[in-house]
Amino acid sequence: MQYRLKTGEKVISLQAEKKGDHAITLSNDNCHLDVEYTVISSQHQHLVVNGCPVNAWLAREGNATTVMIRGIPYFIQDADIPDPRVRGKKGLQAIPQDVTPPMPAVVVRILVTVGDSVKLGQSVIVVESMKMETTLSAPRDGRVKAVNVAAGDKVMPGQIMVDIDRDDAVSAIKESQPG
Amino acid sequence: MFRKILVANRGEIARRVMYTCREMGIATVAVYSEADRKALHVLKADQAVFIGSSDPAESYLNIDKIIAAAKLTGAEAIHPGYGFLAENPQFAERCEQEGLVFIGPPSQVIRKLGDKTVARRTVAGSGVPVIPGMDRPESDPGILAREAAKIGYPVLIKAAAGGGGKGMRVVTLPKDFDEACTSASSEAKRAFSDGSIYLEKYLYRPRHVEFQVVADMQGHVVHLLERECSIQRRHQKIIEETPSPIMTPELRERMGAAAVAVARASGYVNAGTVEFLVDQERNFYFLEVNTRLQVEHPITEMITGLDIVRIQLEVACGNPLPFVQEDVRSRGHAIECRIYAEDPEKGFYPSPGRIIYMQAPSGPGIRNDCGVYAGFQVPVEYDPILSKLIAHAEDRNQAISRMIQALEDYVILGVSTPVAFLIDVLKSEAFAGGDTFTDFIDAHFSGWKPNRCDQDAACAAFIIDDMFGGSKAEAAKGRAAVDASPWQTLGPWGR
Repeated sequence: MQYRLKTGEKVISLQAEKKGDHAITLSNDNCHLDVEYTVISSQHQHLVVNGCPVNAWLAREGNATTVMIRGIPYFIQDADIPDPRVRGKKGLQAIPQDVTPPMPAVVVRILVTVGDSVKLGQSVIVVESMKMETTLSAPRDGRVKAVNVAAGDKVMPGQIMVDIDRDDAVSAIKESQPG
Repeated sequence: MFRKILVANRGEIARRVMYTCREMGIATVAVYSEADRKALHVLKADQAVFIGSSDPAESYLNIDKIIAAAKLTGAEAIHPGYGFLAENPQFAERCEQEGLVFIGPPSQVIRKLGDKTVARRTVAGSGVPVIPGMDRPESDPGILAREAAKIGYPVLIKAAAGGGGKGMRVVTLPKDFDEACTSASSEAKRAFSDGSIYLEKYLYRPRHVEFQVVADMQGHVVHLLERECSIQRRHQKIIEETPSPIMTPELRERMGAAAVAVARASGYVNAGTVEFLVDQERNFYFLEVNTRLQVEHPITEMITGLDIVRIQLEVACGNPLPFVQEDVRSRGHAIECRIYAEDPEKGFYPSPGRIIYMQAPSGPGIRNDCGVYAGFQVPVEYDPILSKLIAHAEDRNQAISRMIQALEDYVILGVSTPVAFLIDVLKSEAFAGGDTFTDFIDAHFSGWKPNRCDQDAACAAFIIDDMFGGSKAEAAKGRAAVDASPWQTLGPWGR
């Protein structure tokens, strides 16, 4: 079987072949892996990869799987089935385009009201998760079109809390999700 | 001794207290909020009382509800754990008025030491050195800005009622000062129901060294040696160890004596921690007293062989300390790693969520104080601490190796944890060299990413899972086998 796997920023192609009952080989132009495996449970495999024993722990979320080996998580997904919900592949440095919490959180303070004009980087809302406050700022210069949440609301990543219209933009206003 | 106590806390610390209670034959009462209906401390207690919604103010911070729960269940004493009401003098006072024993110092001592500015005044009177800064809390932004200028930037904003780094901000530039004050004050208000703040001079590259003290009602005060807590992120400790790599017998003697002097000056009773900052020349300055059981108390227990919760209970009953200073001996080296639900690759952002799978390490010298289980939904409302992993060995190098091995065996799926980060810190030359300052993480691990050297094996695991794995077999059987219920993971319990 042919696999194209996305891990981090890389896409790796591997040809997988079954060799007997508890072994496979994985190969591409750069490498060849002999893998013996024992499936302990749906969360746990014991592997011997080119002679080296490894315990691998798996958690599936949609189309992506987190594989934990020696305390380190690897986020792996099938490169041919993109899953926008996969976490971990986007770096922290990615500049957010919307005012959305980076993690499940509770709204603490809203620093703007509808009609306010805001500057790129200006603080617009404060959320709290696990007792840590995070201030989210405006992703662009513009005007506050809508505030979709209230103090005390629970919010999730992806939920747009404050709609900010680009000053010059007439379209491309993202639809807000129900609070 | 008490027959029944209420534990006014949640998570790993509630469980920690309950362990000792069980050993001593004391019945335990848990309290819990909406988010914690299935929390481990509820499942492990002899009795549990629902006290309100998930908002801490409606539950774990609500004095009336906790007192009512104690009355309802006939508990004679309340152990507050750490955080929540642990250092709230109104709560301790209310317990005293209601005829309940508060397992901690008397309310007036908490009041005196809990307000960091009053503590600074109290300690300065006893001859122990304090960090330059304000002696009164202030809310007026104008006055604060003037004080900041007087102390000189960089300054440290601190919550007068603070602890655990909540409401703390370092300000390097005057232009950032106002916003930092507002945000610090708001965070402090939410964490401690008290938004007052004050300023201290920010010391360059200090070490954080603290002394555990215990004191009885008869006036005996003994210190249980130091803990080095310099490895911090967001001013919150993440790795602690004892002994401190910089400690000499002579410095230990002087700092221990200072810690005992602070406890005496404040009329301290029960267990507490005197925190110091130590500068490059090994001058030490009083920082604050934590008037509670400290998160990192297990490392002291490992090297001294003492059970600090047991000492707390004995002293709260009026019994004298069963040992004197000369009896306190330490053996070996202990390290604690805090396992938070947070993502070290994303600036240690909190990572609440459901724990899909969990397997804790074991082995010689390993202790795991844990408050969660596979299947538990880690709430967004509370502190992100899941568990504390402690390793004890004959010397520091052995303790480090033991901890690395245990961390590599620690499997938590479903929420992010700093396990991989902690492994790299413990493997680093800086840590091995004892180069532990409070800026350690910024200095050595800024922008850290794990070295993903098992990529091949991870891909193999993904492919095997897809080809023959668990995913298909389990899907056919339904989800039953995926979610181990607490009944399966808890082992034998109940009475």
